[in-house]
Amino acid sequence: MSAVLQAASQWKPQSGAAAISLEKVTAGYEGDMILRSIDFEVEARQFIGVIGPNGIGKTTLFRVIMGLLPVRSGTVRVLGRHLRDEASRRWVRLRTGYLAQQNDPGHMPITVFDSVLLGRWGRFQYRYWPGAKDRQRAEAMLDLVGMSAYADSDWRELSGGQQQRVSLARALVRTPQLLILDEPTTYLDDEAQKELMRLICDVHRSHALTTLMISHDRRLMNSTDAVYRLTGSRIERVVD
Amino acid sequence: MSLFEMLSLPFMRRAVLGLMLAGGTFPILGVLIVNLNLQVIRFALMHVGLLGGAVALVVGVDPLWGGVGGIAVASFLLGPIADRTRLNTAAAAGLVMTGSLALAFILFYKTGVPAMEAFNLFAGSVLMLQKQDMLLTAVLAVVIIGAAIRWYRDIQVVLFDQRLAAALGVPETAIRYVLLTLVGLAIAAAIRLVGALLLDALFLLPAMAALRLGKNLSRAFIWASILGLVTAGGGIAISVAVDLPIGASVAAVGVAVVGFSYPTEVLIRRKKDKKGVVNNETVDV
Repeated sequence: MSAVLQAASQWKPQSGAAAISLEKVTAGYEGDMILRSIDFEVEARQFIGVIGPNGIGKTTLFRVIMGLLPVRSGTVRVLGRHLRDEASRRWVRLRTGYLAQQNDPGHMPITVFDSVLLGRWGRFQYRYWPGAKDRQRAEAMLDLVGMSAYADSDWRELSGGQQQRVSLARALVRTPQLLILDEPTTYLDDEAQKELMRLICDVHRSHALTTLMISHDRRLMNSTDAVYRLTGSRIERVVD
Repeated sequence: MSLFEMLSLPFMRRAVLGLMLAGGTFPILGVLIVNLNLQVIRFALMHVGLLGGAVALVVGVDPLWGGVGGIAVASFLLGPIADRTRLNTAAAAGLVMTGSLALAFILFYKTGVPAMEAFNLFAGSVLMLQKQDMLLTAVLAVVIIGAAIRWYRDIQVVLFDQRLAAALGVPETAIRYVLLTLVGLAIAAAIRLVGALLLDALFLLPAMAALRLGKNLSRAFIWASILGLVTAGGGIAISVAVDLPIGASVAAVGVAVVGFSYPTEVLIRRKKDKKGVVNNETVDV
């Protein structure tokens, strides 16, 4: 099936359906099982936060949900797909937007526009190469995050807050149904954090996304529908 | 003797063609080496080349083929070794470098083979190129250009952010392994062309300048290729004009190319800023 046809087949959740469902999931690395028999569910179109100190397994949880880390036992369903084969994992990745913490700009020169276009990988109009449709989508997403004026700028020269707004555009350019935010505000100052969180909340509502935010910072969770705490090998709902 | 008279000599034609092929394509790999922080693997691969040369001398084979074979195998294995041992590539390269150097010296000591013959591999000589060297360089040039075009977007994502690449589903491990292998094979060929000590002139110097001048990866590749040709061509011309060793002349031109990239970058930026101001004024009106 071509990438364009795949893009058309979106998951259509029934009311109350789970966008993410982990049942008795055990996962980790070579004898070091970080998640043990975890049950976790995220309803479609909810904004869920997962908190926990650094090194507790938040990234492992994200890798399991993205199908990047095979589970030792248990069942993982994302957007209605059981992640047991590569085809299902690929299907889910094509419908998932990913925003990580600010990365090291590195040495590679890249324009802001091109860096957004990278998010279309796997959905390019001409398989290996982006077409007019991809470019239009990238322009629209840059406009959405208020960064159109910087389209031709060098990505490395943006401030941390601007880079994260562009990274959000990159996550959205994929036309995702699920948005995963992995410590999105790390290294940002308070003002940039507030600005990015406001933008994320707006996008979550306007695009009817299921959003999962992983962070060590409890203060970011004010806008979420529910917060879960990852402690050791368990995950439990935080009751305010 | 003029350059044209020199080109009538078959060994000189091979030297010029070999250097131009390498100059036009190896700096593309240099761009990847800088971006993936693979500088240290050059040293590791050179030392594996020394071990390969030592093994070849022990079994009575041309040390050149031992060296090239050793480098090819090591570059193929370096990525998986780094991943299996959970070391970063630089640390894995350090492990391979010291291990192969130790083994090479043990071989020299125990078998009594002439160590200097193996060390001669590091010298290289573009004037001694044979048809098989030309073939290896030409095939590599085609493969490097082909890979850069076919996997351009994949390479771009991997260089930009390896976590993002994994999340998007880009086969980043495979891409990294293929790039490491290509870098290793090109280093093996470059050692033959200019010697181990000067191979940075072909790989890194044009790449460093290109990364200052290109505004995205494709333009950095094109700049690297152009500046690599300037480095190789300029080196040959100066070598002929003032009777200098070719390898040293190529390296000297490479250093000059990096030097010129700084003011050129400033000029490009000023031009861009000026254009931006003009555009803004047009919008304001």
